[in-house]
Amino acid sequence: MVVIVILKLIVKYEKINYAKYLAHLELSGIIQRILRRLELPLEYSSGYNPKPQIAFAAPLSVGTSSKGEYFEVRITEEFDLRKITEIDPSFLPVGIKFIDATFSTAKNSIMAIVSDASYILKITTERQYEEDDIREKLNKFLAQDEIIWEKIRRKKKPITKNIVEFINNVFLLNTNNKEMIFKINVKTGSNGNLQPDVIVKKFIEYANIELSDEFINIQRQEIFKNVNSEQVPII
Amino acid sequence: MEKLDKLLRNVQNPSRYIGGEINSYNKEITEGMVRFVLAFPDIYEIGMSYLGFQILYNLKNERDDIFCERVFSPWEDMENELRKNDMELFTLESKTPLKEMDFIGFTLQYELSYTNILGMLDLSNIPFRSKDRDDDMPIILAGGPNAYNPEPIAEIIDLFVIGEGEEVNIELIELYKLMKKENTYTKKTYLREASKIEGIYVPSLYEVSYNKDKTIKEFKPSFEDVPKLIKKRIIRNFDGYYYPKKVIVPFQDVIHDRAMIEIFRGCTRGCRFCQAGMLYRPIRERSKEDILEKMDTLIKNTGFEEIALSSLSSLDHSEVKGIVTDFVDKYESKKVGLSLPSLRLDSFAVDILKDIQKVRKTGLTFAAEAGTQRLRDVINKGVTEENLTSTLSEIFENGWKRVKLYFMLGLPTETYEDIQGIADLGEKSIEMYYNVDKSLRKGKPTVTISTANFVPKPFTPFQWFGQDTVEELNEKHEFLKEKITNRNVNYNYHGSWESSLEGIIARGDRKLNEVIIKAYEKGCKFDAWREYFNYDLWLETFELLNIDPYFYNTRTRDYSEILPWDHLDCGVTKEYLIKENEKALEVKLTTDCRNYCTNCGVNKQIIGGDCYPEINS
Repeated sequence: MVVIVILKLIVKYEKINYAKYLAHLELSGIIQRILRRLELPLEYSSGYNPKPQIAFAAPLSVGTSSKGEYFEVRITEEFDLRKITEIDPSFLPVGIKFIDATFSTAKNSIMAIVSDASYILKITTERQYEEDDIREKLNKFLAQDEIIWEKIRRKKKPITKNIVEFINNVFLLNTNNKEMIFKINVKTGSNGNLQPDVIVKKFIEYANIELSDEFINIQRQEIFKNVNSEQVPII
Repeated sequence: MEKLDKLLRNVQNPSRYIGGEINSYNKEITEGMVRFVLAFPDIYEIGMSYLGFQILYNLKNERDDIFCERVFSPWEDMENELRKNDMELFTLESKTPLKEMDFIGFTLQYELSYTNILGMLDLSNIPFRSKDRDDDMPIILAGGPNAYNPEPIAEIIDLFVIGEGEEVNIELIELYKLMKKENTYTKKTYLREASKIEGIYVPSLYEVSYNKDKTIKEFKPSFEDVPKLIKKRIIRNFDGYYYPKKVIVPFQDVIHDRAMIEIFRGCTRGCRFCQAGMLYRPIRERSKEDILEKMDTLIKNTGFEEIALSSLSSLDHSEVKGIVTDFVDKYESKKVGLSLPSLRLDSFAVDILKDIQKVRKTGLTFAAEAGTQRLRDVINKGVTEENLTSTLSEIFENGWKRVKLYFMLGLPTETYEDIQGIADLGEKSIEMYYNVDKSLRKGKPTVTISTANFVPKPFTPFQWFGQDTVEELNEKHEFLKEKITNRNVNYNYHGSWESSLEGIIARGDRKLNEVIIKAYEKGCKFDAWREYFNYDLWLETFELLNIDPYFYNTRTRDYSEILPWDHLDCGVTKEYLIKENEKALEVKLTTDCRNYCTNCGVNKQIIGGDCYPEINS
């Protein structure tokens, strides 16, 4: 019996600074060219327009930065991983950094193994709020059985869903300088997915917090897979 | 960054404005460093496709004493954000307002981008007219093909670069540095000195007067030391000459998302409608070795999966076959493809294409230009009916089924018979596809016929020709639409109104400055974009200023008339252009000048010797 082993390279990278404004497709194109330039043994798709086969762990909205992103790409053989981890920074656009890399022969695609993700969110408030007070309100907010979120959809009726089951945990980090910083861990991927700012928006509403700017600054910290009921970083 | 965040998160495609691409520069600003911004008056995706932009960017940035940045027209959403937040347009690299630059260099690729130049100045709080800008303002220069008729924006731009920009850009910067160092710099003294550099035209140093019939009476320098005739600049020894070792790998879905290698400058074909073919003479090739070496370097430094052989007619390179074969041999396994811009219809093309297809299969675009042999002869497009048919059969035999054929409408002497000829050619292509042995065919063919409207341009044999009116062009489009009946033939065409305005500006004079400024103030911008173009608003502006737009486009001129660009010398003489125009009317061909010299004048005016001694001897 012939066993076909699919060999993949998984790379952990960060996307910060202005690079957070790169859209998914743009980044995909950029990464293709970086990998070609490194002369890696890439496995190309067949057809009129052969392309390396790249997949990303979890989509990231344009404007959201991240300290822990992942992509995988099919390769034909293993090579010295320092080519990735010690890549010349001039090979990368400003704001993109390769952090770590590994080989994998896992059958499942990288998208399929994602279970959770963690984020830091920052809001700026109209006035300084008492930290203990906000913390107490947050605990009460999270203790609810139901947090109903109405999802607005383009050209379709909005849907409502209870987001409680998608929240793993929410911490208030601090409330200094008219800012509030939260650390949030949510379900991510095909088995349930929630954008972290939804929680913050619901909480702002719940606690009657006045914002000086509607904008919520979001940075993804890490993407996890589930191993024996534990959250483990993808690599 | 936080301030810009506010803007960037509210616009579509924010990566247009962020910079930081692979191979872009960001330098620490040091004392005495010259700040230059290359400005493209259209959006990022368009501007980043231009080769000249990449060449001038790298050429300057390879020097430590120059920091060259980029700026593009912001799309309307970004424009609104800038205004709302009371911010000025900024460079991609260091996010600096344009006012803080020493030089702003606009590239002039098409006439319909001129209102965008004003838009960019407006968003920088820089006065539109050169005379209203003081010594603290940046020097505003412009170059590119449209600089060959600088008059419509002569009151806006401080100085124009006529011809190839590599050397002269540096000379302008050197002069600036010297005057700054010696403390002799004022805008006035600088422009006066710059006017003595070959290839530089400073419009404020010339006076123009008009006849009663509104044609030009006299055009002359205001001072004795300012040249009467401005000669274009060329790079004499092109083989081995500077080419960037790396190019910026752009974000976004840019129009030509690939590396480009310029394999030669100039063209020997002498098509009579083609401005580039006249302007960029003489032909100068890079050698095969030079080209292959530079391609290696570019691929190594960018990771691009495709590289284009760029020039006016790439299959005319004397070693093109060898370049393609060697390249494909080397890069087939690395999956790096090769692309050629639009092709002439001849069997040589098919031969080369077979090689190129080994890596990536691309669509084919052929420039047939006109529908009948008579009209193709008028424009000196040396392609015969037999070329056309045999090439198409060969293409279909080799497995292609999608072909794009490119034509022009409104050429001199055109009749409805010629337009019928375009439709016939579409029909014939389909027929030829089905004549191919069934085993070689894969499904239904698609032939796309695409027509552009002919716009007479300065320095061509047709520079005196009265362009078709909007109504005439519209009628021709309707006629052709009706004649194309085969379901496998698609037809698309350019708007007549856009071509009309292009024609007005292309051969306009200084009076158009106030029109363009007024039109911008009334709301005209992004004229090259169908969703913004507003012909009525332009007509309204002309009327308001009491200027007849049709004086510039549909009027046939006399050979004796002083044309607004007569003070520029592109090397090709007026006598030659007249002779070519006469030959066109007599339906007489002129040979490719590789065969023998056709006496266009460029050898005498610009080179001072033979164009290519090795061929002409």
